[in-house]
Amino acid sequence: MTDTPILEIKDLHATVEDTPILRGISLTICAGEVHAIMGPNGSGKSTLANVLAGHADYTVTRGSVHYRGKDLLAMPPEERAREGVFLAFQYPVEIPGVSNAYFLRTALNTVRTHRGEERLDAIDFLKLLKEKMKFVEMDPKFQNRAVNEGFSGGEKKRNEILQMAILEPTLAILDETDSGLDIDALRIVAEGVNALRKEDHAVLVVTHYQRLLNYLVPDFVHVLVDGVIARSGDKSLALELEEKGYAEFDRAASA
Amino acid sequence: MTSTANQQEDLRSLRNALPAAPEGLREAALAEFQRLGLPTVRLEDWRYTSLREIADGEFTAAGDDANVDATSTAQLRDFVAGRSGLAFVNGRHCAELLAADLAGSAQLQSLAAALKVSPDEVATGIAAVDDIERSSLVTLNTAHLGCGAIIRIPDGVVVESPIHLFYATVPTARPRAFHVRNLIHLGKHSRVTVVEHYLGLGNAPTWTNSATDIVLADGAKLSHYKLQQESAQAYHTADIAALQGANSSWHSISLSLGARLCRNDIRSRLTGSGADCSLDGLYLAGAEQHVDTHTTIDHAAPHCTSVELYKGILGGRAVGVFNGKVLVRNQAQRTDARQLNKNLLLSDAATINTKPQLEIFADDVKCSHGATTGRLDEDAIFFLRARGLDEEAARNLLTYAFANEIVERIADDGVRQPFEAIVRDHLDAIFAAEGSR
Repeated sequence: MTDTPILEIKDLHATVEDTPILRGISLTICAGEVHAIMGPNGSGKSTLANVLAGHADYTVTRGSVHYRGKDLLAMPPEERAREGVFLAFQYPVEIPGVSNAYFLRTALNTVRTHRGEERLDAIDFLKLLKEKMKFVEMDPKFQNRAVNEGFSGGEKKRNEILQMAILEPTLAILDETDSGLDIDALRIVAEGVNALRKEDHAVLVVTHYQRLLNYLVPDFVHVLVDGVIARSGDKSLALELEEKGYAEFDRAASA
Repeated sequence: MTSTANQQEDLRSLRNALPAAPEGLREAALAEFQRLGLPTVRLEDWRYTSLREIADGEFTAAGDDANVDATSTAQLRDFVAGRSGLAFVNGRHCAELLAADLAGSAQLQSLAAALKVSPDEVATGIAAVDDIERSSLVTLNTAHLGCGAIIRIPDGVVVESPIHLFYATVPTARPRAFHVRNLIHLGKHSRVTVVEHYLGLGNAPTWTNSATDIVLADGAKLSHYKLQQESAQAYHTADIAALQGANSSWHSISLSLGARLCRNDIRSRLTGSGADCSLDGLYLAGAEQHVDTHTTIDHAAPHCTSVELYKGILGGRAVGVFNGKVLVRNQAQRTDARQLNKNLLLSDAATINTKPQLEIFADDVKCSHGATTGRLDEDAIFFLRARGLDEEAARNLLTYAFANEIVERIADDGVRQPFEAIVRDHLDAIFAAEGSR
């Protein structure tokens, strides 16, 4: 771990259709760290993930977000992605008519071009794809299928991890990637995240349950309640939540 | 104008240009056309599509002036390179452009040649799908019989490589009409892929009025792909009708890109138990283009299936029409009929008129239909942007994908790949027009 901040969120407020959801979040994530954001339904976890990715449905009303020193909120979503921010979607969309391989290659080459790297040709890309599909234990047949079309919930999540493994983001944000997954899939998600556990990468895991954190040990755990971080701690906080639930925080929030 | 009286005059003057047809065939068809006239918007099936411009367009059937210069021929060569079948330029068979080397006992002949050798067989072929009701345009086509192809596949014969029928037009001094007739007859358990490709070079008013008559004997399997890329001033009317025997299978894909006005009538009559009919189509239109697809599936036997997917992408002030009629007769129990029409509007001024038309007389059937019209899915655009694509690239990719869902259904790689490129180029032109508006 280093002290180089990858992401610095200060007093972040955001609304959806004029309803305040985030009410002042401050959080710093440094290179090499894995942070988990936990919290009850409706606490603003997914809103935070979407605001960081730049979804147009969410409006930031106050505060700032800096990513590697740059103003993240000033960048359109594609620039964030090219700069190395990756959101693993809670509900990945289906794109009929575009093969997974074509989509992944287009995305990778867009990011590579931005980084000043050479575009991968079809042959080199397929080599990389094969290796990464093996890593996330995906059947090779999925490369020729349309993106997420007819995939099961678990396959869609696995496909998100495949995209993450190929794009190798500097900051990966996983929005409830663990929901609805079986043990095998959870292990793969964790392995995908652990592969990114390097000096210059950081991960933000948004989750409702502690389950994933058995496989993926976070450095920090934050509890989000009613749009603010109610408590922060280390991995033991996650275990405590597993035992006691969010009731204590609900009381605190409504008090 | 294309009045009925003028058609008679036209036909008389063409007597020498057209091949001899069996006694009375042309005359009977012309008399019938004179009784009916061109379809007008007063007919329910033609409500949204007016042929007035064709009627006023002073089109005369192609005669001896339809000569083709060497430059045009060279330009056309690229479109048929490596294929086999028949090529026609301005209605005339052009053997040096495309050779008809078919292996085995499959038979492919130009209509003109067939009229010389076996005129009665042609007359029988023309009458083969008489049970299917078609528009008066087909009778006009019959009156001008001469350009086109006959394909006959004997029982049990499987033809592996696709047969291409290529109809190109190059500008002529006067507005010309090309009445193309294709007869495709498949014997029992035979199998073939037929491609109809209509291409217009230059930018002169032409009218292609084609009719394709398909007869599938029991167990026969036809893949039939039609690509229409006529010029911007062209009119294109096509009537495809298939008579399907038991357990036969027809897969039709129509890609309509060009022409100022395009009307496709696609009809199937399922006469034997277990027959299957899959109709797919894609229409792209921008500027002032008008594109109309009418399908009619007549379930006349039990245990048949029909599945339709038509997709449209409309920009500019284009007008699209889709009408899907499904008739399930009372003997057609256990029918499974599904129909879906999806449209993407790229501009506020583009319009689509879509209508399912179900007439069900049997009680044990599964029939479904649906139509969607809209814009691109914003969630999908965000997803792609979150992976690094800019908004324009994301929109274009999703639009290609929307179109590709149809093109990718072409099973033959050698047909699909060039068609994919043609569709993609055409979409790029529509995007460019949208961008500059």
